[in-house]
Amino acid sequence: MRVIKRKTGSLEEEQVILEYAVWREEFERIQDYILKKRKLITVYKESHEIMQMKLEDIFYFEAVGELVFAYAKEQVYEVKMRLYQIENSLRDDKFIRVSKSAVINVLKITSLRPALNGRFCVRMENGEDVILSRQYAKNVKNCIMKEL
Amino acid sequence: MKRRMDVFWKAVFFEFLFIQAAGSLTMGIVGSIFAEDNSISYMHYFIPFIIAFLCLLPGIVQYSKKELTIRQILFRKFLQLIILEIVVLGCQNLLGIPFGFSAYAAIAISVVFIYAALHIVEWLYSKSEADQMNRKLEAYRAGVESGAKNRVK
Repeated sequence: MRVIKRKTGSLEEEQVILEYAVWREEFERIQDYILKKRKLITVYKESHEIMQMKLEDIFYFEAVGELVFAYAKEQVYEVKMRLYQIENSLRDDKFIRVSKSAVINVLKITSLRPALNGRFCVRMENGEDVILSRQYAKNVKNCIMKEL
Repeated sequence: MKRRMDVFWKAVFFEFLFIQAAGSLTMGIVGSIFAEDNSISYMHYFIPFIIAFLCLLPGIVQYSKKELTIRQILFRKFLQLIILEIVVLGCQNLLGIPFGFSAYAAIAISVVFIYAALHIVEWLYSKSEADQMNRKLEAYRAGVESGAKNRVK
């Protein structure tokens, strides 16, 4: 299989063309990967300014009271969604519930270590620790062991 | 929800078996040291089961609708241990054997040991699970990095 790279004039023109003789699973995976890359989510800055953010740049979502926040590498944004909606809509993008108040991006996990009470401490790529509750541990383990 | 209940009951069942086994062992050791001349009946074989069941009940202090902080967990663990001591020492009356102070002290200490042992076993199990997941994550990252290198080439 050859790889042809061509420079475009702008970001809007960027595209990936898959040329195939027989559509195989590997093409399916490449297509999924590309489609996920372009997924965006609407977030709100502190100044209530609306912006679109790449889903892959979000490390985790956390509910604090009635509000839900999205944590990127260094910034925090507000999201106008409930945590269960995020959990349900982003399940295929490797976002998974880890506690009553958090949904994390599995692809941004650096490591896990055991904590008290059957819980785990999840170290994210931005250095932050998120608690994985005992009742969600099995789901997270399945996701890591079977879906990565 | 069902899966979460499965996890809960699995943990409860493991704790029950562990306490029951450790309770039997403790009864044997403490009894042979402090009440060597006393004999026990067949009914006494049920005591570890009863104690194990009663020891699970104080676990309710760990329940919370909200996520607990480390400090809150530690406080509740301490509270649970105190209740366990009361329950286990109270249960000794079921044996119908008069124990001295040193026997009660040995039982109280063994409760702490069993409580600690249970937590160590649980921690080791969690550690092996975490190591398994870490290995998988490492392999995934290595795959992504080598893929990225190939793409650059």
